[in-house]
Amino acid sequence: MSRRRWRIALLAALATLAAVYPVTSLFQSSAWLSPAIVMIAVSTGVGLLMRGLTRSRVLVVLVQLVVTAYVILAQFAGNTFFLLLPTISTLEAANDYGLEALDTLARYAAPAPLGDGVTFYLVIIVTLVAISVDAMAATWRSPAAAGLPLLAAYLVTAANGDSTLALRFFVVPAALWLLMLHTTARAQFGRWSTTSATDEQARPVVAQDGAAMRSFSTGAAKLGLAGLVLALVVPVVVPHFPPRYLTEGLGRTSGDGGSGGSVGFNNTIDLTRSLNNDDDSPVLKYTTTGFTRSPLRVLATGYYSRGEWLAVKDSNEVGQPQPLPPPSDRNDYEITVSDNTLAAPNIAAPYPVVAVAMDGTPWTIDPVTRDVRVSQPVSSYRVTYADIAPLPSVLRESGTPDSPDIVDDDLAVPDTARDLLDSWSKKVTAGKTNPLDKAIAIQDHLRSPEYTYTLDLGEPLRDDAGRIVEPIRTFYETKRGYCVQFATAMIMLARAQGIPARMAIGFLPGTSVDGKYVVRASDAHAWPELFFQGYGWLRFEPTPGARSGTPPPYAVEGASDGSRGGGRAPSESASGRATSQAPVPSATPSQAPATSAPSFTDSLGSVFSLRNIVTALTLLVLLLAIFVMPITASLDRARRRRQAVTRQDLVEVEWDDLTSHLRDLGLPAPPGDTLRQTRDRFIHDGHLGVENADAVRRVTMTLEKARYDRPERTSVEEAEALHHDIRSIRREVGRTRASSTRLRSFLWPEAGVSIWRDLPSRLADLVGRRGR
Amino acid sequence: MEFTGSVPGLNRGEQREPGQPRDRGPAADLDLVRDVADRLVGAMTTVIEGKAEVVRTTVTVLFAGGHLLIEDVPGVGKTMLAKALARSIDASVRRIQFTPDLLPSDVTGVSIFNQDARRFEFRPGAIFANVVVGDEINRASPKTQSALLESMEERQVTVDGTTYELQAPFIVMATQNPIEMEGTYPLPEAQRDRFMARISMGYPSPAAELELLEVHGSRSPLDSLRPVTDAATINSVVEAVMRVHASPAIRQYIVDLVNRSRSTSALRLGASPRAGLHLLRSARAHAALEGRDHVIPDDVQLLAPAVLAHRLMPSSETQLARRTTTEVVGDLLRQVPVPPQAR
Repeated sequence: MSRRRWRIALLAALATLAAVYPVTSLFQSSAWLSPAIVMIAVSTGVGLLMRGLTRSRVLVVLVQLVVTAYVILAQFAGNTFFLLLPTISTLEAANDYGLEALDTLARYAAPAPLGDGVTFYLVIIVTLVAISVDAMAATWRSPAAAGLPLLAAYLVTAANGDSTLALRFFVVPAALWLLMLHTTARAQFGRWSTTSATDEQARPVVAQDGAAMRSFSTGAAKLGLAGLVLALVVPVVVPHFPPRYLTEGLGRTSGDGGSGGSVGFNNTIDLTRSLNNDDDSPVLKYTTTGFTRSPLRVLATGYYSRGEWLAVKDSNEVGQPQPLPPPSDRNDYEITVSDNTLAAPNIAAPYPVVAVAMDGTPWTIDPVTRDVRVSQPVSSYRVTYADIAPLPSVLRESGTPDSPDIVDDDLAVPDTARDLLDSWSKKVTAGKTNPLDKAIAIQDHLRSPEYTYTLDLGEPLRDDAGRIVEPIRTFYETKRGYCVQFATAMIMLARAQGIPARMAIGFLPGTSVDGKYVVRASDAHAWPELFFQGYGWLRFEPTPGARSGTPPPYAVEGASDGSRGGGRAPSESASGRATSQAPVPSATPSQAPATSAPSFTDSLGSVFSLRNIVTALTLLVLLLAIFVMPITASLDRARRRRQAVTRQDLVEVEWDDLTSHLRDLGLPAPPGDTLRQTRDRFIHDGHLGVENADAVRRVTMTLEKARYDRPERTSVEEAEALHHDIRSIRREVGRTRASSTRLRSFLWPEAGVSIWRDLPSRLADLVGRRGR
Repeated sequence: MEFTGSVPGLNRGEQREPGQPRDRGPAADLDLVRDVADRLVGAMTTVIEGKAEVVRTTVTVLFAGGHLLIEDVPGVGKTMLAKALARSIDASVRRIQFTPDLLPSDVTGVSIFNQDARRFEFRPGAIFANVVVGDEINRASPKTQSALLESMEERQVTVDGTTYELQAPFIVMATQNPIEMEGTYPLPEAQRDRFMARISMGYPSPAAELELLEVHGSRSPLDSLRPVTDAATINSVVEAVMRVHASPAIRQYIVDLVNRSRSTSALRLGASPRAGLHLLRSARAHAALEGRDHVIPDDVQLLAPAVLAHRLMPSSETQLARRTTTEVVGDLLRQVPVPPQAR
């Protein structure tokens, strides 16, 4: 083994390490790094060893995979081994790790805690990257390709990280990769120069090499320049789509800039866009004096019409909101918001607002909803809010709702769903006597495992006449939805029971970063507010899953915690990045139809929706259309193989296979050429090495015998042995051709094309024969 | 006119050598063919230097049981080639120097009245030999040419109503000057057709020429040439060659080639069925020479120019383009697909 191979392998290992190192920023602990380093070392060492032992490259990679898999399993699940061998329970352990890792990914945004499962899978991923980089750089000696796995590993961090990655994270692996390229290229050029025999003969050769080198490096320079220009121009030309649905006005159907607008309760325009939001930039940051963090409310509305929540148009009512409970019954806290990007006129603040402090910006407060409105965007403000935490026992005693805060809308139930809501709410609240118990029953019912949190609602249901049914009915049937559906359901069920209820829209408390809480677009949330006489509008939390608020203390039945665990795991990660796909608001035609990738646990059912089936069928048809020629060619070949009666026929089929492939690769066999001339042409023009030149000779000798010698002399073994030789020849010739030629030869094989070309005439023949 | 060679023997078929037993396997046949070919080529190469291809074609034609026409400008060794082959075989050899006054009876033989026996006796002509070297054949009158050429095909001579069979093997090697030379009577197409192949010697390479000057300056290398095989062996070789396998594909290929020569616009006269037969026979001989017991298209392609070119008549366009029939044959070989073709 030469020193150079050592160097390449070492560089590959270092580059892998450098490319995966930024992953440390995704997790709270870096404990995964040392087992990962060990595995990189193991795979590199095994690769070096195997390359010294065997020439089969595939074998090298296979051994690397097996050895590293064994080491990883032994390390993480060694206690399940029996006689030093993995057992079924090893697989179970791996599965458990997988579930744990999935759970972690679903639950946490970066930086996530590092569990055993995550470490296990991180090490596996790092090992796979190491093996593929090693295979490409050292085993196949084309380090250029090794850039891809390196880049992929780097992008894992870049795409999931919280903040911009430091430049060094990119520069180090890139430099190592370039060093690999350099080393390999040096090695190849070095091999050229040793072939020149004498000085006199070498001179013109060297001169040619110089020209070749110059054109080579000119080409490389041009490519590099083009890449640089592209890198600069594309970001300028292609418009950015900063996901700012929330910042331009929450859940607004159209950017009318007015205070009105609708918050949809269907699957087209609503919070999904915000919930699906990939954007990382904060909507606002805040600090609070409170111990518990409440959701930040932006607006509330009680007006529900045809499946949508509509914000009440600029209420002209001026006046003071109803007084809050006396300070003895409440705790006041202060929230200080900075970097606010929420568009005017809304601002986000916990409910209920007691006082607002803004530097000179005029603000108003809606007397009914207590929404705070501003006339112009405000970057930072301070809000004092009350934490009303009535005791459940007191709430149970609260009287009949009667307050100017309640408008007719707050008790309205859509006519189309009235029957359903009545029966449904009766069933849910059976046995409960007071409003609080009913509300808690409804909330717990919705948080029960019966319901599934998902952003993918699937196709809306339709009635017999084909009309889309009332969304509440759909929700009742499918039991799937996200915060808007859950909140609406709770509101309607409460109204059906005579409890005034309205919809509040805002943000979850966000995540803590550097002492401040950061709220992102994906933290958007909707929850119901129910009215209790004497205490005003109180928040409930019927949405299950991680992306939801915690129910307030009064909404938890008794002291038990049972109701909180009722929800199912969310079907997308907490940050919404890993599995959901950003919807594209305007023109990017290349974008595939946006179907959010479902996680396999929750979305098995939705996989078979009509749209998915149609998409899959379309994809299938497209794939078939793309591959129709290769498929035709291979079917035809198979047919001829089947129909081959004699060994001679079989040999001819194989030969046709070879000649048509080589013709596609630009190596035609002129009809007037004899086999030997064809053979020499293949060997010469195909730049075949010794082994495959011998293979061509063997093939042509067999064919010659089959064609021209006495028929009985061709043995079946000979005929069948051709197949192997022919594959090997095809591969080698293919390697010498440009990738475009190879692609064309694969997608547009003459053997397939000619069949389609001849189809009309053959059909005409057939018809003619029938007609006779 | 001049007679050379051994005593003329009168073979009438019944005296033919029995040859080697027929029941030997193809491998033994091939060994024999290669052995004889190697010895013949070795012997002839000592005389004809730097002309391996010509020598090989000559041996091929001998093995195929055909006749050879050697055409070239004077002084390049045509006669030397013919004599070298003749000397290498221990068989009856006759050389006929064709002159304008040569008579048919000089070639075929004549019945003369024997005074003592008081009856006509047949005096065989120069053609009664295993190897007949016809020198400058196109200097004789057409009448005499015909006498020779007719006996070439039928391998028998009829004089005064009596048919005399010729010996086997029987090969005529005729030399001729290109038809542009003065004082020649060009061979009619029908007679050219009887030669299995036409070869031309071409000028030797400078090195070979230098060697030639050194060696031939003192004495003729022909003098030291000893026979390396005999007539009986040649006969069994010819029989062995006939047993070489020619697959249907090869036969189809030859038919395709011959047919294409008849339809191409480059030729006024295409190849005859006999041309196809000759091509197959010579291809068999070549295959055997290569140690193969079956013919492959390469054999056919290699021999097609020598076997076909002299029988074809170029069209006026081809003549105007100053292209030879050999070039036309080359075109045919490129155009005609080698069977079996894909699909």
